[in-house]
Amino acid sequence: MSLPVVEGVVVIALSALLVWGIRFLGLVFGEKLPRTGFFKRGMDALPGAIFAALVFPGIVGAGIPGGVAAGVIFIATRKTGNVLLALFLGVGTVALLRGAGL
Amino acid sequence: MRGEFFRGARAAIPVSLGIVAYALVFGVLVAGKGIGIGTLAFMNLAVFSGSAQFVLVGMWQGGVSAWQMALAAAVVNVRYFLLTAAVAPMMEPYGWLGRAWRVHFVTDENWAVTMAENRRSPVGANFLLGGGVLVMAAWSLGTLAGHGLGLAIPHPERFGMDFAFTAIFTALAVTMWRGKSDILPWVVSAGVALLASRSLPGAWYVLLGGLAGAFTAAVKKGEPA
Repeated sequence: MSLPVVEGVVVIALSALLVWGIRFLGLVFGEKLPRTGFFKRGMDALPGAIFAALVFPGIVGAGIPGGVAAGVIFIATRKTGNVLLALFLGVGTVALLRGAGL
Repeated sequence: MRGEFFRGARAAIPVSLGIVAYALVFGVLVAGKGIGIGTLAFMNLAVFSGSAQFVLVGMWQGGVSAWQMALAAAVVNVRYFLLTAAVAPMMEPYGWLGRAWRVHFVTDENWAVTMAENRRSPVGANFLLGGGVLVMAAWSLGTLAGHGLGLAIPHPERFGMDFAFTAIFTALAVTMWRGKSDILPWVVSAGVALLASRSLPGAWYVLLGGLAGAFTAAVKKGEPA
């Protein structure tokens, strides 16, 4: 069963409004924060902290292949600076280790 | 200005390739739910968030109010609050209207690419926008192709495809590393995120982990302000 078209459009419009609202409120919040001291240190560290939060549960969830792949990605990125190459090596490592039964 | 837009788009090519693969799978799911291609295209442009769209399509069978569906879609995107807070300085040259539409183009992927580049040499909102437009194109083309082809990839995890996003974000994280001062905030962020991912639904773990890491850096003594 699927939603009727009109209802679907209403759902999408409402969702779009709320998702945009979050994006916009974040921007307003970021504008209001002082750019010195405590808040500057926090905001400067925020992008890296978000990255750590984004990737770590995914690496742990992928088990041993995920951990090994993370190591491969780390070395590939540090040595070559090529993100696309690191992506292929990382995904390839996971596929290979899973194929080997890990 | 235009140069920066295209530089942003070019930098987002690797992440966009990952997005196409993910989008194909989503397009197949959408077709399976009986959602029309026009509705899908509208959703891609208006909501423009993979995680929110997955949630919406998952609830599409009816029996749930429009508000509940929209709220569920919004909740999985609470992390955007922090992403856009971090790009606020880039948006300063623009008026509120200019910021209001540009902020729609912030996604995990082009945000990540922009932040990584910004660490090397400062970039502006047009770099972010260029990446966002390419991501939107990749997402739209991928989902529409998946919908049209109706292909199903059997066991995508066998090819490690489920790891693609973690892989690319890990690579980008490596480029973001600022040195020893990042160790403690990153460990705190990763630890909180892991705990939250196991105890809370949706993507709250990104928000909580990110906040915990940033707070740790903010209270650390001896850091240059």
